[in-house]
Amino acid sequence: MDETITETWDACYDRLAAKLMLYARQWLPHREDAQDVVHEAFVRVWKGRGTERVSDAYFFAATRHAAIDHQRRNVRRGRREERVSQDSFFENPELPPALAAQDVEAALARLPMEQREAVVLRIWGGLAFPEIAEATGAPVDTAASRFRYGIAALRKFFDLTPS
Amino acid sequence: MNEDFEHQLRSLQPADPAASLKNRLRAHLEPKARKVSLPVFLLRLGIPAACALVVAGLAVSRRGPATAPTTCTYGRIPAEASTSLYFQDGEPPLQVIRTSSQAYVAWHDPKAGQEVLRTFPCEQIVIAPLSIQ
Repeated sequence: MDETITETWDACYDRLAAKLMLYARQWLPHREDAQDVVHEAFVRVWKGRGTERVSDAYFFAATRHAAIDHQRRNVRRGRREERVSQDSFFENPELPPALAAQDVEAALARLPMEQREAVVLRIWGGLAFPEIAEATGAPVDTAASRFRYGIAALRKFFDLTPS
Repeated sequence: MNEDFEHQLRSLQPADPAASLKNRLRAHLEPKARKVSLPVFLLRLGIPAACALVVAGLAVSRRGPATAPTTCTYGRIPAEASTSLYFQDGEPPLQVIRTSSQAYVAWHDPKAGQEVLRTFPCEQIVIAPLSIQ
């Protein structure tokens, strides 16, 4: 990639932080854990980026690795907590959305992890399928089919007729 | 149909992380300049670098364009020298750079939100007692 860096770290953070948090919370529902992971991933990517612009997918990939590592460490320490996170994954909008945030969180929780992360990266991360493939290490076709299966499962959860 | 459904999903905005996360990142990514008094800082740097700093203090006001000094009191800036002038107010440092033919003084203007670079011919760079507003 020839594009040189023009974005400051805080502009990059403002653009990506909420998306990275939502992605991290697919493994780590607790907000504090997810923040630790996003912090770790962001510092690692930003300090190691060199002189070229880093793709958004790389930030998601680093967050993914950090979240999985964090989850494994907690399992090894026997500190896995079963309590449900109190914080919503989503903002509370002034106008109620067509789909309730709690229902969407519940529906996401029922998806296999591969489908869930494809949906999160595509819908809220704004990534294209090649970028999802880069972030998750899956082939592009696999990323696309995981997304489609995930969306179909979500539609079924909300009792919507498949198109 | 799927597009409508995806649009409905997108209408939910991911929750922002706590402000403390950005502050933690700032501490890692923007290490603060150590706050030392200017005389102590100049002594630590040694005479050549200190001379360059004094030039920066005289030649540039951070609040406006530099005037072109015309006298040389204490000596010359070493060629190919590059150093920084730190202020105790915690603002970003001035960068003082001299090549074989030009001298540059650069700083970050917080109001404009950008780096400002002033260029001087070597002959107009002055080494004089410190005079910073």
